Amino acid sequence: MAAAGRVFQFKLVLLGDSAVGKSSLVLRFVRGQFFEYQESTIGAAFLTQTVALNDTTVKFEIWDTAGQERYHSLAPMYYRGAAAAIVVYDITNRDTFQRAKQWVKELQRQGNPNIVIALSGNKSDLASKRKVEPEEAESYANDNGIFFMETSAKTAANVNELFVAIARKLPKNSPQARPGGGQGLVNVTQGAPPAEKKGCC
Amino acid sequence: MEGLPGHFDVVVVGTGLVESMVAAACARVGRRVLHLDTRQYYGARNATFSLRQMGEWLRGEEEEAEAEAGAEAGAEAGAEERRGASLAVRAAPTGPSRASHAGDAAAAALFRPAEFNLDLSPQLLLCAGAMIDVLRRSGVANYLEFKPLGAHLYSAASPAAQPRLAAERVPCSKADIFLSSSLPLLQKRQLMKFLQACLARRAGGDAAAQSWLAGRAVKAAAAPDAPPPRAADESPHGSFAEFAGRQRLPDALLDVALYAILHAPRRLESSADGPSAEEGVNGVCRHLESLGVYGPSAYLANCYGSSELPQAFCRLCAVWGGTYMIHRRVSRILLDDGGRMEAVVTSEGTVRCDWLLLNADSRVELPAAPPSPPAAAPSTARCVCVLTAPVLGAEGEELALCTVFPASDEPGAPTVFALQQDAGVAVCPKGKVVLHLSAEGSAHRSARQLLEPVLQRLLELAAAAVPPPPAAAAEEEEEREEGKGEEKEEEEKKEEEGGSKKEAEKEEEEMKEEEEEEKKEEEGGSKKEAEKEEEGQMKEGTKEETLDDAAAADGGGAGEGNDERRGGEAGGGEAPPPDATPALDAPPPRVAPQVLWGAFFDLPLRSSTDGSGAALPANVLPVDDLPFAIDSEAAVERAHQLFKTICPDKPFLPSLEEYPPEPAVDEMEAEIECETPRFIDTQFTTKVEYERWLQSRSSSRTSG
Repeated sequence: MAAAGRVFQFKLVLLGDSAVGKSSLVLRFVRGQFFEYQESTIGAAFLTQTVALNDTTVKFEIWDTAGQERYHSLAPMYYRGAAAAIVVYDITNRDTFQRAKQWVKELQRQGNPNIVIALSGNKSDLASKRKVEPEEAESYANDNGIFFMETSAKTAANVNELFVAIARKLPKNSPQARPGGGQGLVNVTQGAPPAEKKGCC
Repeated sequence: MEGLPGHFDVVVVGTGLVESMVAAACARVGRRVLHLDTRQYYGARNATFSLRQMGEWLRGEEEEAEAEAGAEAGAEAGAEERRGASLAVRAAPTGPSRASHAGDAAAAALFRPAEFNLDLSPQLLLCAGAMIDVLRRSGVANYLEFKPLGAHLYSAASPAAQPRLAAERVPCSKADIFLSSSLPLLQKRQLMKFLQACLARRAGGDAAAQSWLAGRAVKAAAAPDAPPPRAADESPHGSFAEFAGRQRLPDALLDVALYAILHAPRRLESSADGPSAEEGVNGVCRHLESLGVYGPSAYLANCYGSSELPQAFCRLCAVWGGTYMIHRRVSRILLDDGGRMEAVVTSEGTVRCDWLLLNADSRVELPAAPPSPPAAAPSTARCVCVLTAPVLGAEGEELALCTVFPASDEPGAPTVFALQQDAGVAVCPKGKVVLHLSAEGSAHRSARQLLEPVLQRLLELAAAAVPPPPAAAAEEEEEREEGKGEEKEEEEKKEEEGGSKKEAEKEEEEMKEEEEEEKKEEEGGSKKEAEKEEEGQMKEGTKEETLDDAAAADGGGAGEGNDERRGGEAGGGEAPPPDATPALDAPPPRVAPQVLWGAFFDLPLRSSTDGSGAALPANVLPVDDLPFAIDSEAAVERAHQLFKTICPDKPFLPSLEEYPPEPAVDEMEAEIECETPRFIDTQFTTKVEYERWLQSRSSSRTSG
């Protein structure tokens, strides 16, 4: 395989209403932690986690909304260059499912046309308070060409599976969703690199 | 809608670059920030639009919609009975003045308008400048992608004397100077001496000068705030032009330094005018320090348009707890007995706050305010157009800046900054080019009057660099074939997009016909007449939009110049002869760039107080529109000042090491056991310290 042993980096964004557990999913995935009373996301909004598949390695650059979704004020830069998105709803709250559908629409409108979208019905540990049946979400997902999993950041059920499934679905051979295929971009974050060896002499 | 907290430390209205930086800086040091924007998009004057949005904005459609929303909000605020004094805040017009030449209907038929990111105020980042420093330190750079500027050029505008003067490279590094073909040997030596003298005048300058001489990157000598000029042989007072004169810098090179490096906005009236010697020397040194840091030139561009910068600062603000409400406004400022602002009325309710920052999208109705003065207000003249091929730089240098400075016999004439962008910075589809022209506006001349001659000239220069049309008719036929093939590709693309194919076909047929007509005209020697006609009556539609009289010089392929790149420098005669028998897979022939879509407009520089003499309450800070600058250094300075007014004792956008986050208030946390994740590596690109802190906090909680 041409892609064997290679590392692919992808931007992944989280979307969904406030308090459906977006940050909890990420913290569970990245750090294996869960806080019952997770503060609304402060200070941590840029995490990376690497997933090893059989022949490739996928590095996720995970963007949390940082609360900008609350008043429908998410900046367009959030969607830019995102290769994957997880749209999260809370299975105990029907409104959040309806809003999740809106987010999927928004992504299909604003996002990269080849974006891989996963729908996550979170808080599956609270099955007794369930308001959204998995069958309904499943059929919505099928109709819209996205994939669906019920997850629980609290018990870790399906959390890793969700990210691994996304990693599998991401195209490994098409050019990355970066400007100009990522060519000629410079990294400003890690100090000044030595001058480029471009040009003559 | 969820209820807003009743109190914020700082309310910021407007998401332009300055406001967003202040919002982020305040949130970063623990202030509670509410950030609003009256518009439904981020960026205010630093916004970036798709082609469709740009068209709507130019036609003022956005204003109409806002006016309705504004009336509603106004009524709401008026209905609220309040004791005590208050000031009404109205939405100020954001649109352009004297806009001409917008026609997105035709442009939309040519390509997907969403593929464009067109800046209202295009900007570059100086590699060793304050903006890059802030971006790196604060971690905001993580949210952005950067690309080095390919070519930094200048061109002296004296069309009468030298109608075909090419764009030259700004000579800065030792290699540049030695390799320059335009500088006489004597001038090379004078320039070398001058640049060394500039470096030597700064603290630690000797080392810097040595380093520059050795062709290495020049390190910033001291903290950017206070580099005290060394007591050198030259006195530091006087203007930069006078200093350069004492250093025996020839006038031509002084112009390069003044306009291409220091970006003086207009031709100096006299040598005592312009930047001071100290400002100038610091500017030149900053420029030299910027060379070779990330690329050959001193600048970086960020991808997806300049609106990404304010958005990235907004994200930082949100990450540190800032609350975001776009498309909401402050309609009233409530005052306490002492005349200080104590609260603001927003569309989500009344919010008490200690500070209010208002950008010029809002206008405060001050009690003593006279009716707003007639429009002699300063402005920025702008032109944005979509081209089929680059006009600046060599191949691989599509991202290019060219400073076109005014002729010496035109004191006060504006410097024009031409910034060319391509798909490499994700502002347009592949094969197209976006060209921005910007200059200080003039009350007497519209943006079009100021900038159209420069645009024409750049197009002419580029056309002149393209080899003349081949004589053999057979070859021309070949070219047309190729053009058709590309057009088909374009059609297929449109079909994919679900666009109406038939219409597109019709458009293209029309275009072809028109092109042919123009070609005939040109062959008939009536080129000048056609030009006049075009200037006289600009109708709507693709072809009418074409500003380029030279465009007709090429065949049908010109419209779809997918991979055509113009090699060599503008005006350089090093064009390879056209391939006699072009194979199918050979690179397509170079073509003269053609304007597909373009607009001229003036951006008035507005103020929230609108020139009224009455003062705002001391804790209401206006953020007036900044004059145009090709780099964002002035915005950083303004944001820094505003932040220091609000938080005099706190660092401005510090790093995590410098200013670690304060531990949050006590809250319950429980960690649930789970199987170890089967991931090979957990790595944090940023906020490592924060994560460590989080970890230590959680482990201490579990043990305790």
